[in-house]
Amino acid sequence: MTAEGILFWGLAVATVALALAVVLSRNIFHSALALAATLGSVAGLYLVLRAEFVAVVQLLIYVGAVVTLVIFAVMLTGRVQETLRQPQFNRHVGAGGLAALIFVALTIQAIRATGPAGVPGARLASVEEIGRGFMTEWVLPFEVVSVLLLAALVGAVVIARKDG
Amino acid sequence: MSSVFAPTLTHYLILSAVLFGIGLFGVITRRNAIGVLMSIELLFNAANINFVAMNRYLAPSGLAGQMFALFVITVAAAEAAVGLALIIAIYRNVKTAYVDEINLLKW
Repeated sequence: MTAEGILFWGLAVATVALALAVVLSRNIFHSALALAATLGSVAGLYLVLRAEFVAVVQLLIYVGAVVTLVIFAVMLTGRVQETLRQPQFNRHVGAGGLAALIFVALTIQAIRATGPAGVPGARLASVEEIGRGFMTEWVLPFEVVSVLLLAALVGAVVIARKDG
Repeated sequence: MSSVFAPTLTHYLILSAVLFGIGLFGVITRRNAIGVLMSIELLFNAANINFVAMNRYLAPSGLAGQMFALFVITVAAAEAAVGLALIIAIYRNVKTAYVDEINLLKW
């Protein structure tokens, strides 16, 4: 009954419940809010895993920027309530079956493949070490992703702009 | 596993498998294109949990897992921006954001 165990189980249950709210909610705005909460609880999981920088980046970028973008898009595309249509049972059952299949396959691999149980490290790389890594060993992906972000920024502005 | 309660690597892998399954279900099922994009974000997060958990349990002195997770977050943000711009552009032309109503290319 360690603190880490309680935190992990609490956050894990919260993450799964909120993720179910994201995919099952009839109202797209409720889905967006549930997505924000899901990403926040995943950030909590990163903190339990002692990865503080990833947790903060997750909150800043995912919850702060991506969810804001999603809510803007929801507001700009009208129709917040899913129109009541014939629920497509075939598609739901097929999707559920496929998801369950993938989950079972991944779980079997997870239980089978973690041979050496893996002693958790006391601490992970600090922000300073990550920063140094960005400038030394990982500088090429860092620069490439900057170009990617520039391209995405320009592309998104051009695509979403009103014509004329 | 010594005890089921204390989190080990297996716990995190199974959690990310659950998240991945839920995201996959959402991608196939949701009618609203923005809902599909949100489910894709769940898939990204499942992979990120795997990266960081393996970093902590299998290679705690290195930082490759965290670096990968950071790059995944960055690329996912770029992809969400472009995807949502596309959805807004489509909505402006076809007046709908539902994937089953966008069928101009169907024969």
